[in-house]
Amino acid sequence: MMGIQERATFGAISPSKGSDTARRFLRGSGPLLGLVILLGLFQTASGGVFLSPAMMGATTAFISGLGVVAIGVTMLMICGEFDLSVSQSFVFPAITMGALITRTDTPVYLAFMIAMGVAILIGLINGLVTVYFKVDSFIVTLAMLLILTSLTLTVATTNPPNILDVSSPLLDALGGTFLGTSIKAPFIWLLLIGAIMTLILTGSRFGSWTRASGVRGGQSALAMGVPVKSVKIVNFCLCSGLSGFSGIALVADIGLARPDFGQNFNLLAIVAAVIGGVSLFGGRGSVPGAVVGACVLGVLSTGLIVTGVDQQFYIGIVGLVLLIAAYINIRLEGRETGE
Amino acid sequence: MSSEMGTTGVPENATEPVVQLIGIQKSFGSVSVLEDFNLSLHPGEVVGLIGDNGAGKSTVVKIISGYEQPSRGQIQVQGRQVTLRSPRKARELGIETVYQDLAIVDDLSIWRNFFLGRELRWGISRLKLLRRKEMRRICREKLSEIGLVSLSSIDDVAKTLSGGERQSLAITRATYFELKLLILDEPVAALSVRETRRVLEMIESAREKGLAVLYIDHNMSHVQPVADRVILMEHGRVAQTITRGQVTVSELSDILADSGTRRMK
Repeated sequence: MMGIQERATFGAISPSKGSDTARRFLRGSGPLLGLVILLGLFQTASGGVFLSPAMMGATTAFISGLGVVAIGVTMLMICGEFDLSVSQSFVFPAITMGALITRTDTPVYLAFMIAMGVAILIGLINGLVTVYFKVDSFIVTLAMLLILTSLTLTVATTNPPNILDVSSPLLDALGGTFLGTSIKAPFIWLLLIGAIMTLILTGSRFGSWTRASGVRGGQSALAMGVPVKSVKIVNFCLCSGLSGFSGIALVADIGLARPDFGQNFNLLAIVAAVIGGVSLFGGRGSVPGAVVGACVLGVLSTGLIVTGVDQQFYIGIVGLVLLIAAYINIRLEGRETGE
Repeated sequence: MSSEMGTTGVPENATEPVVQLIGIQKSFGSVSVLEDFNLSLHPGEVVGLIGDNGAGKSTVVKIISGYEQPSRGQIQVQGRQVTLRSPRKARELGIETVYQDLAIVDDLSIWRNFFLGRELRWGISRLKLLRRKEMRRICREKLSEIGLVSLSSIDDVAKTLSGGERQSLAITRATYFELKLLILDEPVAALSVRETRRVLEMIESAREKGLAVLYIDHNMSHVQPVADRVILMEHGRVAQTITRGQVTVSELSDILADSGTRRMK
């Protein structure tokens, strides 16, 4: 209907090959396809060991931890902000909880509440400084990362809290096994949180507002009456809160609160989000995509071990995967529906 | 809002202004942008606001749409004094602003754009979900009414719309929600002749539906075909008000030429 020139001014539409339907499918299911290929690859290369229960246990533990963090990071990236401090909002609240339980005799429930409060407070500070002092979230959360790194090491001391002997139904629910099966609770949490956040992003007003707030600095959203500042602050809290929860669940599982837990999660969570199709310019992204992204990184992590590849190559391979995922995303930009 | 008017004894008639700016003054630091600015906008009336860059047009828009608060002066919405603290507040009071490039969120689907900030929801207290089906149905209906048939799907992202389609979507949205005042900021800039005609038709249909329309442009020739009244701004004041039919087109160009000369001095 409209002239080519008129259309061309309203979005970077690259020359297309193949149908839009195919591209939409690829955008939605591409990461899943990659994951399946990866699984097949490692299963073959390891001579069938990779999909054994023991290896799957290790893989899902990694995925559960990273996945929940990646969901929060995805929400935040959709509303146009970054959080580089998630590796610390992952570990600091958990260590705080461990320290409270082991050193001060604080009841487990109270220690958990305090730790979650700390996690959310981290996001609140990130959000308030970003939104009201107008410092780029990149810088704000980098500063937060550095500050919390010191705090984490201080609280952890040379003798990190050990809660192995603490028995509590709450700790079991957070990090135990799921109803007598061999499935770990954190994995159930990942699925539950993934489902809830998917519903929120696609089926709630807050989800719409989160996406709108991420487009062009939220200016259009603001003009449409969306409280952009509040939306962003809530997403900062959501991001750090989910990271904190994930870290706490890990510590509840392992029984030890070590300061090096989740060390690379700030970067890996962004990689997972990008594999899942989040736009670096905000406005678009997918919660299931982030979970699949975390799965890809988890499978890579244990897959390389099983196939005897040296550990130091892991992070480099993740880098390559990131480049490929980002390139595919850019190629598919503007080809998806708005849903 | 109008029923409340009735109970307070204020007669409800078509000539009561929807929005009134009274003695608005606005300065940024020591720079005064608006000086004793007055403006009444009535239902079913298209008012053109023209003037050069820096004349204060965009400050007027920002004040009415809740982005900026006046330094002095009063804003009345349907006879009641209000403080427009935020764009959200202005929107709640029925004032919709369609900015040239901010009207639509590129990366949201068309139906989400249609309902953005006014989503229909179901659920209990704070736990509410979107009424997707209903919103999509209404959006599809309203857009097909205005003949936006070139759309392949209302699930498509809004960036697939042309400039004219975006304006049409924004104006349709404003008329659907039965708003009081529609502010259009250079709606036909960068549009083709055909698309301009469509947008002007949409403005006329908004007027017929009883909306007050404030049409901002720096170009008289854009505003003139639809405006019932044209206000020429200079240095933060109303320099001249021209009512439709009062002057001929040639007289109009004289007025503009005059004001041009004045500006030169």
